[in-house]
Amino acid sequence: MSDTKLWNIQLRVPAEPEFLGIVRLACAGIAHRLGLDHEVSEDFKLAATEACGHLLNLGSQEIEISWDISSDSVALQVTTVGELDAELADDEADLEWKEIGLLLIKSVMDEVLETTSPPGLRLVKKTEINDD
Amino acid sequence: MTEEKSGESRWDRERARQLLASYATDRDPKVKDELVAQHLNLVRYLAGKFSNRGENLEDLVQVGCLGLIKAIERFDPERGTEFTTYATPTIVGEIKRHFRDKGWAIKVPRRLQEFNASVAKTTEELTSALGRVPSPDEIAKKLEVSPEDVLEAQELGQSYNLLSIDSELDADDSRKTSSLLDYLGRDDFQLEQVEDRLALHRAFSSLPSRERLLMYLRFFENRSQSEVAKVLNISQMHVSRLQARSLETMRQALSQQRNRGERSGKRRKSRKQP
Repeated sequence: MSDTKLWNIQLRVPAEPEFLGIVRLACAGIAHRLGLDHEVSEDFKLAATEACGHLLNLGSQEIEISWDISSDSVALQVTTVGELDAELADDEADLEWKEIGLLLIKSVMDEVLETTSPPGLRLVKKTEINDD
Repeated sequence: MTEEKSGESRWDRERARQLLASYATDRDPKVKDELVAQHLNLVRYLAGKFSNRGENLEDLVQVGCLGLIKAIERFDPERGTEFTTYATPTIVGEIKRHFRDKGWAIKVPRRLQEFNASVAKTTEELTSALGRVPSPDEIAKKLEVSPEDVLEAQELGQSYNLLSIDSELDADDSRKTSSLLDYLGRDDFQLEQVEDRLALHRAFSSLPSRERLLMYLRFFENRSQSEVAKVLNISQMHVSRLQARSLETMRQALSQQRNRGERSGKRRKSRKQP
């Protein structure tokens, strides 16, 4: 059993739907760099999009996405950055769909943890990574 | 409007709960039909999330419906979980299994390869039409996909293409082309000969220098016995006799080597045994 930390990659984007494409591209690029299966790569894109979508309506200016890559897993940490502005927050965002979004993430990732301060999600996918 | 929507969905959920409770006891196909119809939106939503993976959306909805039906059959209202909580992983699981059954984990699907090819083709077409390199947006518009998909295809697409090992590689202006196959490694048959050469070399050194020269001229330079006789300034008969004797000497030297090899091989084997 080895879980050596290999790399950390960070990306900070404005908390707006238009920037989710960049997050998806980064996911694809990183997955490709790590030599992951196409299916795993697509799962990451899907999970990252859902996780960011989950945080978009909380009222933060920015979202930070961080990839923790170790020899046996890839963890994706998505958090809000800075103070949450209640005026920007969209309380009426459809709770049911949000719930389904979370369930969707859970069904493509191995671990999903909700963090509170700052609000965010940590998604883990177990997969062997070769550090070459 | 949002209120109306959420009000409607609350009603839906109440109705779904009743239907599920009724189906759990009665197994009435009509109730099942209504439950399926009621949750088609959920299936469509989830299938849509997988639609950019190179599979037809309608196919995914079909597969997702199978998952939904399984979920309806297996759902136990007594447990107190929401149906959507139970159904979502089941539906997603079914969709993911569909991809896996198609060999997704091993190879990139044909549609995606084709998509990458069509990005390249469209780029070419637009370049000549516009007189400049088109932007990802322009390519995306023409192909009716998102600009991100185009960017990804441009950035990573090349590694998704399959190459034939027979495909010819450019060899500049020389006419001879080489294929990838030429660059693939294979066993070097000459390696086996190295061993033979070494053995022969040892056998050779067992000969006196005149015989060594004789054998060299006869078998490496393929000279006739009379030619060799001239070089060595001896009769052809003498060459014939020396040759026969030398071959016998070498044969013995070689068989001694082989015996030694076998014996040491046996020794090695016997050492392994307790």
